[in-house]
Amino acid sequence: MSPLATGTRRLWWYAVIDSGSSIPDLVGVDGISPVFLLPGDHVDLVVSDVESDVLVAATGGQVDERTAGLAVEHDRVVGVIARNCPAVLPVRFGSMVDPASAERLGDATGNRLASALESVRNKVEYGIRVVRRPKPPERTDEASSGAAYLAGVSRRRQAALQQESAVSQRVAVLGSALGRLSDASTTLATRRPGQVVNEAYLVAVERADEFVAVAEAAAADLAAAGADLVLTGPWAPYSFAAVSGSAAQ
Amino acid sequence: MTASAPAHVGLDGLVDVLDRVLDAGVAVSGDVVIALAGVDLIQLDLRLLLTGVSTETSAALGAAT
Repeated sequence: MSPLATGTRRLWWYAVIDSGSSIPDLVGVDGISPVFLLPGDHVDLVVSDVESDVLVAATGGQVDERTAGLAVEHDRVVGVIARNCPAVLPVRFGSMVDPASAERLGDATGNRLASALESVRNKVEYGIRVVRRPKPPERTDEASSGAAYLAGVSRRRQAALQQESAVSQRVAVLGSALGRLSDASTTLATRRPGQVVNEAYLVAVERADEFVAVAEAAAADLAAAGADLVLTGPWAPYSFAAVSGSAAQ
Repeated sequence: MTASAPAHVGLDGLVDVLDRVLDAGVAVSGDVVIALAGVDLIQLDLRLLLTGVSTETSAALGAAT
């Protein structure tokens, strides 16, 4: 434990799980402190102590590769919990609580969290990303005349339009298929160059194999059309842990 | 196509983690959370490190506080 100068014991908060759950032995984002539970009436909070320098890296000052590493470590802990518990609500990076926080949840927030837990019970998140391959660089030495050059430009533009259309059609078909196999979907924030899709899907565990098979088949189809599909997961249901606001509400 | 574990390494993998860890998840303030990282700044600064990607930061953390 690392009390800060303020005297307040701050705990790194990873996730919300069912009240009365048990978790495996693992260490927190600092690589040292054990992860443990703060039991509450409605839900349990998954937390660990953190060294003060970790708090500084996460909550203020310079943001650098260490902060990125903490994000990965946060996800590691959440992932272990998710693989061992049927229902997990991941908590946003950088949330700190004190040892009495679970007791202060109150009925309103506790019930909201318990209800949200039900919505993700036995479900996982998958990510689907589709990115168009960049066009090959235009050759300037292939044209023997101005007319031939313009004809080449026209051909390339036509090919690009055809590729765009082919990818869009396949993405639409894929979206419908994955929508039928999932309980919800949402668009993720990051936009990469050439990106057509960056979507998260909430999928029941018993449908995960079918979901992955559909994505794999679509990947081959999209590759032929000039786009790459990347499937990530299974993740804890970060993008569907839709609980926010003040505990005082 | 790759089916990758969440804790994978590499730029794309890190961005996938950030998409979730920073942009999503339960956010409760008030009496329960005693400190909340300046996630909007972390998110922005980290993505500045990751050249070639951008994000819609405005909508990401409106409900965090």
